[in-house]
Formats: sequence, structure tokens, C-alpha cells
Amino acid sequence: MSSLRSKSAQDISDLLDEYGIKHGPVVDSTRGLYERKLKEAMAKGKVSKASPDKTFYREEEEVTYVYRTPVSNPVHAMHSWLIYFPFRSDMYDTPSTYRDSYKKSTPMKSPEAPKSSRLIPLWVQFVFFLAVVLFLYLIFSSMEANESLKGIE
Amino acid sequence: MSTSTQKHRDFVGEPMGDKPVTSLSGIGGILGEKLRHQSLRQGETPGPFLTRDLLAYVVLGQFLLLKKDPEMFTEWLRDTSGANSRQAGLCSQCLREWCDAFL
Repeated sequence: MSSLRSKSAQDISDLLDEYGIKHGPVVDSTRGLYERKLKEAMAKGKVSKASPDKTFYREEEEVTYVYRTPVSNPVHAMHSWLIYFPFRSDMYDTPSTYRDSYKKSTPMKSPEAPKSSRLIPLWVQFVFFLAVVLFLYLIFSSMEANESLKGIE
Repeated sequence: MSTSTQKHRDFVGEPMGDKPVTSLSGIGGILGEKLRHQSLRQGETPGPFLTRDLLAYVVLGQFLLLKKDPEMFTEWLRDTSGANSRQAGLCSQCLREWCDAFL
């Protein structure tokens, strides 16, 4: 810790990354400056960022949370499916919003467990969703026929 | 930093070529001399620097090594030459604009 001088340039570079210090190559003319910055950062007691595993863990945590949501509320099971459904399609299709908030140092294609833990294929979900919509529409239309709009107003 | 000096405009307006470091905005004779000594100490190529002034492009090199980060560069300049915040800021701004125009 105290002998930064004896560390290799690569070590200094890695340490700078750990402390989140943006830097260029560690060469003779830049080394002194970077050593000083590291000493300052260490003295301030800044917590050095761990490896990308931390971010990866958070992503995994979020994934499990999403999976558990529809199970815990039987009353809102239908509603939960609708919430659950767009999350899953986002996870596999759009890399923009969902991934951007968690993607700091993880690689582009985050290696979650998607494919192996997909119990129901995506197209089945689509069909199910359409069936539910159709079912609800049929109920609504039959209600309309019986009550002739009086009960609604 | 809205108003730029003539020195700044002269530097930023054309490629620097072999201009001395003292042509950089914020760097006067004393600072230039300190930088020259520092560059010799750090074991840079001694050839052109023993007899002549340090050249501006060497400082440009340092600016680029620091990935054009103005904060880092000003810190380095202050450490190396004893420049104050104002002088270092002027030099940093000067180099940044030169890079925007010519790099």
C-alpha cells in the first residue's frame, strides 16, 4: 500500500481503475501524478470499487425479483402477468432502458440465465395473452348485451 | 474564460510547429524554464532541449497522455512547474482549443 513506487505500471493502472480515477497510460511523465492521486484517494478512505461481479450480482438480483413477482399475489395474478410479460421481452429484445441502468462494467451481452430458465416459450405467452384479451372481450360484449349499458352509467 | 488574450489567439489560430512552450497561454519565461528543467529530469530526449527552449508540442504530448483531461493536466502542470490555478487553466484551455481545431 505504501510503496506505490515499486508497483508495476499495470498495477498502478489497475489501482486507478479501482478508485474510479480516469487516467491515461502510466509512463514516466504521468506516473508521479497518478501515484499522488492514488495516495490522496487512499488517504480519503475511498472504498475501492470491486470487480464487475458486483454489478453482475445486482443484475441477477433484479432478475430473481422479476421472477418472483407474479407468484406472490394471486389476486393480481392477471395484472402481474402483464407486468411480467414486458419485462421478459425487454430482457431479450431491447438493450436500451433496462440494461443501461445496470450495465456499468459488465460486458455487452450479460450472461444471465435467460434461456435455461425460460419455462414457457415466448410465443406461448403471446398466444395466452391474446386468448385472455379475447376472453375478456367476450365477457364484456355479453355483459353489454344483457344490461344494455344501463348498469355501466 | 470568455475573453482570450492575444497570446491565446496567436497559439490557437495555427499549427504549433516548433513554437516554444512559452508561446502557450499562461506560460511565461519562468514557468517555461521550470518545465524545461523538469523535462530534462524526467529523462526525455535531451537533444533539442539542452540548448533551446522546451517546445510546446512536448507539453501537448503530456496533455494527450493525460487523455486531454483538463483537471489532470492542470494538476500536472501545477506540480511540475509550480504554476498557479489561473496559469494552468489558461494553458489547459489553450491546448484544448488547439486540439479541437487541429488534432
